[in-house]
Amino acid sequence: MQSATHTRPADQNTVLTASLAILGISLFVQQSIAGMQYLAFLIGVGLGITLLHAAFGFSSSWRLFIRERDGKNIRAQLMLLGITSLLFFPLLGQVFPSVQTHAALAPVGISVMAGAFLFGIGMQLGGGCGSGTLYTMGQGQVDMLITLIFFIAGATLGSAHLHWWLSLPGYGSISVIEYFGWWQALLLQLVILAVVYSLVRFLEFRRHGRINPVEWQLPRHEIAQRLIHGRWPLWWGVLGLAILNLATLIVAGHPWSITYAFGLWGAKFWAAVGGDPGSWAYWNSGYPALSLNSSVLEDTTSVMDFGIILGAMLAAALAGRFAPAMKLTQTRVLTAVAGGLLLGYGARLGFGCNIGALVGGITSGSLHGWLWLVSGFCGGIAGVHLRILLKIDKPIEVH
Amino acid sequence: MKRNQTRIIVGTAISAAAIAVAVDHTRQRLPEPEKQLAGQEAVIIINEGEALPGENNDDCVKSVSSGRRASPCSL
Repeated sequence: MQSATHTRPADQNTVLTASLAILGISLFVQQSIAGMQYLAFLIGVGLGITLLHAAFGFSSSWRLFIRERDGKNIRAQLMLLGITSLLFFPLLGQVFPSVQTHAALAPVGISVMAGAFLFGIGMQLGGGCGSGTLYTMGQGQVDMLITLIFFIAGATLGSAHLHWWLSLPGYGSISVIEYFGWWQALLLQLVILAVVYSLVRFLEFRRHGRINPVEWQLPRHEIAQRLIHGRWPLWWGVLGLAILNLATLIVAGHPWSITYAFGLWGAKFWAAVGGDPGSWAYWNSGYPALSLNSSVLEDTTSVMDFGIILGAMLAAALAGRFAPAMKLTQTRVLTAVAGGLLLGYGARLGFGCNIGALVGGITSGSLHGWLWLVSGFCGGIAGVHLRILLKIDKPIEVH
Repeated sequence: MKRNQTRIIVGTAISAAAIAVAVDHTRQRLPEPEKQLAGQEAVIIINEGEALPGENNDDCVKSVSSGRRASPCSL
């Protein structure tokens, strides 16, 4: 359990700025955009607060496990997958027909395999995943601002090439909910997650002779303080993300996703400087064409991403951790550029990032989510070794 | 990099992004009702074997009429 209580004073100016921005944007979106878009924005704010206060990241936790077999955060991610599946499967299985929802289904094929692998490398070089890049950027980390800019560039480039990748062999979308029925598929999913959870525990125990517990309890007198100023026990993060992902599914009609918006922003920027992304196969039909020709505020993913950045900014300011001083070396700039490009390109090919494809795909019963997990983790292993080659990290020592 | 420098860079980036969003939002035109009606009355000729308008077999371009998304391309 984390014993450190909040010691840094809140950054009051930033708290005020972020709060006013959240209030202003939610009112503006409520007035000018039809539907429940403002709710999606507020859910994004909640996600940003949860991610930052619980320090819920994927890239550093995968690296910790690969290097040191510390599986605490990976087990928390598996719990997130299990709890979210419990919430999603009945809805996606039409147990409540009045709630219209769509699964995050995508084709299983070489595109996803290659994309997730590149994304896994990018996570280790760029220093963040889809969610991590957004919330650390909201926290005011300048290196992550560089990663985000090149993440957008990579996603835009990926959207230009996606149709070529989709011409490579693949199987189309496979939904285990449609194949087995929702409760049978849920049972199978929970069994597989339990097996992976046990494997992670076993590997951790074999290395350390003990298991690093996922903390969930706090002394009663610390609860209010930690709720506002952080840091949250990891379990709070798991529950918060699962509940907010459910809220996203109900409000937006699809699971939480992040990186579609990056490609959209890049394509809009390309159009603004005279390019013609509308002539690319990806952007000239269906939802992408619609969103390219509409206000960015009409795209749910974009609005939620803005919410995540502002939510993380608010949480960081409350914790007194906004805009930390840092040393920006040449190597860090180069890895942020390369990592960002790989993240963006990989996310587009993989039909999402660790959130849209891994969490959203798996918890929607889409087989591409599992393929993404395996390929992305293999990319993570490659990325960890690349960090050692580039002398960012020390070689792995096995005791 | 000192904390103040970091704040200035991040603040500038977020302000620039906010301006870009505002410009993008104001560039979008609302559809005119007359044009929408005219569009609904248009005759569409479909050759044998062709897909119906809005019906596309490509997984990547499926979209739903409600504006919510079922397309893998929107992930």
